Amino acid sequence: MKNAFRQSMAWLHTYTGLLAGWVLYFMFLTGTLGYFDTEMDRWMRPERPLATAPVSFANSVDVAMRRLEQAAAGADQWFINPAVGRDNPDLRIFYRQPPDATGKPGGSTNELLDATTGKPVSYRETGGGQVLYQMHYELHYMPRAVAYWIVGVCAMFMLVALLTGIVVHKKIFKDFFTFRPGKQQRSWLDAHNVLSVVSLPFHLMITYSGLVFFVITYMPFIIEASYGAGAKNQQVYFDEATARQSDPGRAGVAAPLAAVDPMIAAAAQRWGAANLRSVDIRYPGDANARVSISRTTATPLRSTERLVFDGASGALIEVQGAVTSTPRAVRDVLLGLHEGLFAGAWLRWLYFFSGLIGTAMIGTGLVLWTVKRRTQQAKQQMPSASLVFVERLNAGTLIGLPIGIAAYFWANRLIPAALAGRAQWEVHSLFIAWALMLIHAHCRPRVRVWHEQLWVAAAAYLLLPIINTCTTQRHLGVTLLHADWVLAGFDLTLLAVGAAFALAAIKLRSRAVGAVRGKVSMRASAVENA
Amino acid sequence: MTLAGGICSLALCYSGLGGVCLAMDRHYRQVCQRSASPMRTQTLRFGGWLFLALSLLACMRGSGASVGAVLWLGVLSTCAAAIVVMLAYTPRALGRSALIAAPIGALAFMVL
Repeated sequence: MKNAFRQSMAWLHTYTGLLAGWVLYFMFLTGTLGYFDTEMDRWMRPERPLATAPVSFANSVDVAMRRLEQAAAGADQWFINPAVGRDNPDLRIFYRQPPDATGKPGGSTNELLDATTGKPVSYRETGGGQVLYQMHYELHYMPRAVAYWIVGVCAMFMLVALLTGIVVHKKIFKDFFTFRPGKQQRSWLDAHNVLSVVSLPFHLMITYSGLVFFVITYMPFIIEASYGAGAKNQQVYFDEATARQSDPGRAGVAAPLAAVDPMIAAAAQRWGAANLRSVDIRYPGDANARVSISRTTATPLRSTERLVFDGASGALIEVQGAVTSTPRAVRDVLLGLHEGLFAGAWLRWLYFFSGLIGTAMIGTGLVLWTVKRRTQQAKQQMPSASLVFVERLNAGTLIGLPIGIAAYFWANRLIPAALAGRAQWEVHSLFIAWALMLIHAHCRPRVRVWHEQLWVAAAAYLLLPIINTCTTQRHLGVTLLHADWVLAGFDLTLLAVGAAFALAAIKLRSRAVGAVRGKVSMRASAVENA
Repeated sequence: MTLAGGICSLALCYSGLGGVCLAMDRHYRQVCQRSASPMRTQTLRFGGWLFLALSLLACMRGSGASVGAVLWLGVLSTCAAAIVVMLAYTPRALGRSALIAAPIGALAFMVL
């Protein structure tokens, strides 16, 4: 009875893992890189000044307001996000125009401003780390709704794979530290097990919380059952869930916006000046204007307190607590743990390593499937088509996708800064390089594929800091001198990744050469002895 | 989390996991080439879990309860991965490093 249960769980584990494995590998790799998204943003904008004296929150808001008054006078929403720590290295503003006469929503604009002059910056157009990270849940080249469903199905498969994996792993405590290198299938299984177990709390958290992000997309009928169908009824639910007064809408009566500085001072007194995050202004210049000031996140609870002021009079009208209901707080903690925005430098690196361990867990699982079947099919004349397909797809994805990501950075440095549409072309470069690696994996002889791709990956990453030196003023020679550890750290990490790929290529070659030599000597001795 | 606090929790976690690992006969033999006496096994197991608990306390003391708990899980994963790799490739270095990390961690815990 127990055996049959374990066997069916093993089957489930294998096939949920295999079917979703490559998409999950993509999601895990881009998600892991996403923990350093703003650092990547900074590296991909080499025109950005190196180190600037920090501008105070209040001054940044003043500068931003002047720009917003000039550029977005009649807008429905102004959003100001001053440079606060690593989460937002630049002064960012957002504005949304009112819907037109037919009800079509107005256009929205994001801008990065220079915090001293208030002018929009002229950094090269790039998706930066944000686009790479967003691909983690939006994928690419498809409508968002489709991507959310694909990502959701794969995340569900991941959760099933994790839970069935725990059930199937017979000696989960005994084999906690067990890794036996040099034993082919046994070693791959050990590696897969160790990578899964060593970071198991992280993997379970990240998968479950990942599903929670779009739970309303996956289960829309729960809201419908209580509130009725349609977007308006959904909005009633959201307002109740967040316990905020619903948007009063435009009054249509003009009224000058009250001074924002006293509001900022009140918030600073309540939370401390270092904990101010953003200013959100609705309907500026209207009698129903609202100014909301938010606090930074310091704990896994993603939601924070907000102060809402009346825009015309400047009076405090509402204090929105961080916790309005327990279910919502649970959700916000789960999402907060997933995003890790609260993490300082130490914890951010730990998140990153845990993500890499998860990515490697998926990779070793995919490879294990092929190694096992190679061994099983060793006596057959022709390996099965599915085995060949999976082997080639493995090489082209497990090494090909990192090569694609390196290509993204290469494109950032090599595509001329002034070229229109360069941001799209950076992303295209990622997928073109990945596609080329998939084709390479399909065409080259099986014994050479991994080796060649590992060397391409090593070269792609090791050469990047050199390309950086040739094309920008933000290479290691400059950044180490100025102790800009974000930029220097990025280049150093690229070197470390390249070195790791080179090491893998060398190890693979010595093992392949050893195997070939072994076969040759065996054949030679067989001929001698014949 | 300060650098000193980080080193404290890392050292405590590494030596704690090392203790738990060496309390298993298979791994003790990998590191020391002979089996451990029952007394030693008990000591390693008890000491290992104690140090793991202390590293959790060190993380929480440095960063608050909620962030500290998350931090500790990350430290645990990193130390476990390091121990697995060392056990596979340099088992004697594992024994020595766990032995050095233990007093460093304990001292740092009491001082900080």
